[in-house]
Amino acid sequence: MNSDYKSYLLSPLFLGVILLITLVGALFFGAYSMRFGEVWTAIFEASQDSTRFLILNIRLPRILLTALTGAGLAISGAAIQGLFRNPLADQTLIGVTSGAMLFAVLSIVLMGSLLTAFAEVFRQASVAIFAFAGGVATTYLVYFLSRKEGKTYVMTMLLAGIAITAFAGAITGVFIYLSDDQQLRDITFWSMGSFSGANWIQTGIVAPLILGGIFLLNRYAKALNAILLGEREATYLGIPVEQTKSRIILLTSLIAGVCIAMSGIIGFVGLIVPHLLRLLKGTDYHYLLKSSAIVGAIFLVLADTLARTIIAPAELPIGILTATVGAPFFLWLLIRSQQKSLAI
Amino acid sequence: MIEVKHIAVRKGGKTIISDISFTVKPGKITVVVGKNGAGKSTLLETLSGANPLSEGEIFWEHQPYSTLSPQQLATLRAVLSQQVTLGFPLTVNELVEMGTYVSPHHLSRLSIRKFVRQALKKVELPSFGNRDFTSLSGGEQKRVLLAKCMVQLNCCQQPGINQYLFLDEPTASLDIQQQHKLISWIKEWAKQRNLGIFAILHDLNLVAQFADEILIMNSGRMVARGAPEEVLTPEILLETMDIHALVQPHPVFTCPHITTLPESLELHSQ
Repeated sequence: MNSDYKSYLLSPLFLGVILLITLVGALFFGAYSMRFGEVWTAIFEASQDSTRFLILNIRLPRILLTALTGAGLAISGAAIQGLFRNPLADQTLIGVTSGAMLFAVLSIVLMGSLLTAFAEVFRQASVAIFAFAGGVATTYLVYFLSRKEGKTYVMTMLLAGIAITAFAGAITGVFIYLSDDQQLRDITFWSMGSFSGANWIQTGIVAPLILGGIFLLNRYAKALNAILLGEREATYLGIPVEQTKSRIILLTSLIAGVCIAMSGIIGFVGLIVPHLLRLLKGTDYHYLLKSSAIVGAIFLVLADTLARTIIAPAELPIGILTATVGAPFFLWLLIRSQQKSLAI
Repeated sequence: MIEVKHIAVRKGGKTIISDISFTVKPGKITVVVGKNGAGKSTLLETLSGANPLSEGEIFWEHQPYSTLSPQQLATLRAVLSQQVTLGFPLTVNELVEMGTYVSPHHLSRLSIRKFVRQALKKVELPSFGNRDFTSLSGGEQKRVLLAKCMVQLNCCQQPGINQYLFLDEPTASLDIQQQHKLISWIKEWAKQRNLGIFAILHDLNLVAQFADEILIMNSGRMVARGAPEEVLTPEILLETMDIHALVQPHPVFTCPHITTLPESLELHSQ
């Protein structure tokens, strides 16, 4: 039995150390890779050269933004899977992704022509604000549709989410059809996700929202565990189920909305990170929420580092990497565990 | 004491149960029987706090039930459901530990483990803690769920406050030996802790041995109520449950013994 050794390696503390190493390690890689001495001097000796600027104002905010996004997507995926008691669920299901996509496209196509007079920064900000508002608003539409007599019916919500996603997809299609070549290119890249524009302002906006969201979601570990037995059983165990459901939906839509607004659509993180940990360590949400956030951050920072270096000086959209690296690894794990832990 | 006073529950304009009154007393076992669709499960769910009342009121120790929060209710009663399907696999320990979630006392990791271990020992599954709940047999799952109820009531115990246990067909899907074991654990526990028990059961002979008071339901109404020897008579059984039965003194216990008969033998039996 190596279970002691395994549980040590998977403990949140150890995973946190790995995250720290990953964050520091990622500073060294990029279109211009650096030796240890260069990074050290750049950070700790107040020289005013371009290396210092590159590290402190380009790489560092980007790495932190990536880590926050990975953590936010993974923890909200874990919470949504628990709430819907469904292994296929992630934030896509509650409409936040399709809503954000629709409004981002709307912003790119309509505002693009209106805002040409303004600087690039304003256009970017407009896409982010639209995407966030669209994501959260769509989730609330789905949520509203699945409520009746003060109760939320998660099965209805699941189906309403699918219908709204299809509907939003169709309208998005109309706008893509209307877009010109440059806008089409913007839309395509946005929908594959990227952190290439990351700066301290973005990171500063995202950090309190995502860290606060993670902190609050973490308090629902007991409730999410109890809901695994079914909503009625959870009520019998003393969980205020309706209140829990609406708070978790609110929190996940805010977290996922911010993530998508800043970086575009990065699939797969919210789906596979929680599953990975479930397969390795089990379902207890006390563990799953924390560690999903940490592993999500590690996973996305690694993927982004690869995205920055693999075809340097150009960059690959990160959404492509999360799927190409994540999917085969997940399949391998799934086959190795003989699907035992996923059977329901 | 739980006092149920003239309650009715309607869902979507349809009356499921109406004008039901009875009491569940601490240390006593109240059993409800009746045909399928008589409203037994709705009654149990309502008493457990899962359904809003359309009429009437339930009082927990003279406190109106509508003023109690889910958390307060959970410290007063545990519910053994007929079946639980998990969203994702959980270990037995993780599941039984959920009984401690609502505890008003601050529990250390160590005392939580102690509660879980004690309960699993009580239901004779002491080495099952790390097993996957979904891999267990129906009978083992039922025992684990009972252990969860034990943990819930034990860790919420407060001096001078009565607690209750609700059972929804606890013996369904169990073999005969397991049925008797489960019932005797529950009886022993109830006596020891002065728990009030409210149960749905189908096996009339088990009911006769187990119950202090029997409620018979038919089409959402309570049609008979009383001690086993008062209620389990051929006339009442025929009238309320369409059962043709021969009722004799039990060869071993003091309760009645019921032999159910097919309809064609009705004359012969008299």
